[in-house]
Amino acid sequence: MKIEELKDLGFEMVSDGDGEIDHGYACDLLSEVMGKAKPDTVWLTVQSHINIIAVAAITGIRAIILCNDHKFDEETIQRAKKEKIALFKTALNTFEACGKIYQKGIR
Amino acid sequence: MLLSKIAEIVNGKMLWDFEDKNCSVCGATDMVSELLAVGRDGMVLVTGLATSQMLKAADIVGVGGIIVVRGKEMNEEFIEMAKSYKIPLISTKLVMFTTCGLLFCAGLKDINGNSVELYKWKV
Amino acid sequence: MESVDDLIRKIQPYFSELSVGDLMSSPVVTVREDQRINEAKELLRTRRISGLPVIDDGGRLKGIISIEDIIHALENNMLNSNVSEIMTKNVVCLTKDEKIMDAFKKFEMYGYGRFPVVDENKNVIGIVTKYDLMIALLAKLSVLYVHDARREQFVGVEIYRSIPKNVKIVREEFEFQIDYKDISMAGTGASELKKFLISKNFPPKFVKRVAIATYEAETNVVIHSNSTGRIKAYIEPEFVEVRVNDNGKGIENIDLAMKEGFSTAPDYVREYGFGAGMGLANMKRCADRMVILSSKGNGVFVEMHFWRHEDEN
Repeated sequence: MKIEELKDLGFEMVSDGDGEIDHGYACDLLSEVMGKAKPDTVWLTVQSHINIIAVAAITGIRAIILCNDHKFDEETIQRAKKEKIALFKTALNTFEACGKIYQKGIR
Repeated sequence: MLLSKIAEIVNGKMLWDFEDKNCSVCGATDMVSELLAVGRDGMVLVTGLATSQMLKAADIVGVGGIIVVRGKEMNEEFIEMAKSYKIPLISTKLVMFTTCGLLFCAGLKDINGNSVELYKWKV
Repeated sequence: MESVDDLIRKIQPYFSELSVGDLMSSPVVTVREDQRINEAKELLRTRRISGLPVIDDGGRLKGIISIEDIIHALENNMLNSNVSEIMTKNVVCLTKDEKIMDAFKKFEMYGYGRFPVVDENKNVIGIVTKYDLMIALLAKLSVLYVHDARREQFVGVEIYRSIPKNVKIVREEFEFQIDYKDISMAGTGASELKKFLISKNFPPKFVKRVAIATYEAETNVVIHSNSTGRIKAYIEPEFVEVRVNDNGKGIENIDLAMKEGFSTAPDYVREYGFGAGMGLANMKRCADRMVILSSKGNGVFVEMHFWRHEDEN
């Protein structure tokens, strides 16, 4: 799936990024994500702390969807742009957002 | 949807002999405050955080059952505590994303009442 | 339960250096003595204020007119008379250099809701209400946050008027010592309080609200204070007050701490599912009224009020 396609699913793009999405991962515990997430993943979380960008950059996560109407702060957005990691936000909660992406065939 | 059916869908194990019951709403988070914010009476909670703090918060918001994902080990103490709160516990090796995906597609609703029916026409 | 008066009384000795000039509202809405009472009434209504200083052509203070005076005028069919006919003439004033303690004494001594502030020529330069006094004190004390679900309706008016004053709590009902050294204990006090309230036959929906807010306040003590803390709850059939305080380092930046998503929690805490910066938002959502007092080095004091809502019975 192209990163662009997440937009078509209704997720609001906050900043663009590089690459393709093959997998989905949902978790709010950074060390877990660090240990378990595969490359080329879209990561769904409610964590907006700047550390999420470092976690994404290290694991090869391509896009982050911030669920439940949480907001990214400017620092996080700037860092994401630098690392070319796409950021999205949504009013959907993690459960529904996962379901929506899962339904599109992402595993 | 019966908890036993939910356990079957996620290939999960029921961790104590709780009474089977119907749950129609589901939410997923690893954050305690998030659970406190969105938790609803009778909601199935999907979480990777098997801690006593999460259990206390789950009890406070009145969740109907907890699915612990990523095959997290739980000690006897944790299970006993869930029992004392009468909160059904299911464990699955699946990750949160897959657990949510399967349950959503099987028809569980989110806390706002949204279900897979909303998206079916787009497939 | 404490009224605003009690709260002010309790904290005012700490701020003896504040003067009236620091906290008065200025410029002031005034009315001229030769204007009609009807005009004064409209001013009070449109500006949503409860009293007006009355001035002469030169801006000098001649009297003061309050809502009560207007009601009298209404009853006596005097709305077309001049303001000067019903105003209170011997007005007790403040000057801008008077200390906050003196202002407070005047409030207590005279029982008025507002005092005009005048300069040496008796020109009106400001006004001080109890609300101004409270806001100034709270700001100085670095009050993190004052939230009142009923407040919206009373913006600009003496906001706490809406709080029932007849609630009198005579004894403490629940107390819990917070163990800050063990993060796995976080939430225990809230759980205990939940059990306690259920045992006192409070309805589950209401108890949930109280317990969620208490859980967050308790967690804050465990994560941030690095000190001992205590939860106290006082109950009445229709009302619960919860106080959570610690003796830790306090909160430095008010605005930042109130921002949703902001958290100073250390990384290891995030791995326990805390530190998403949602705690205060949850407390605000659940409590009908919340006051957080904190200053650097003096710990944090949280007071939350919960009234039983109609749909919670």
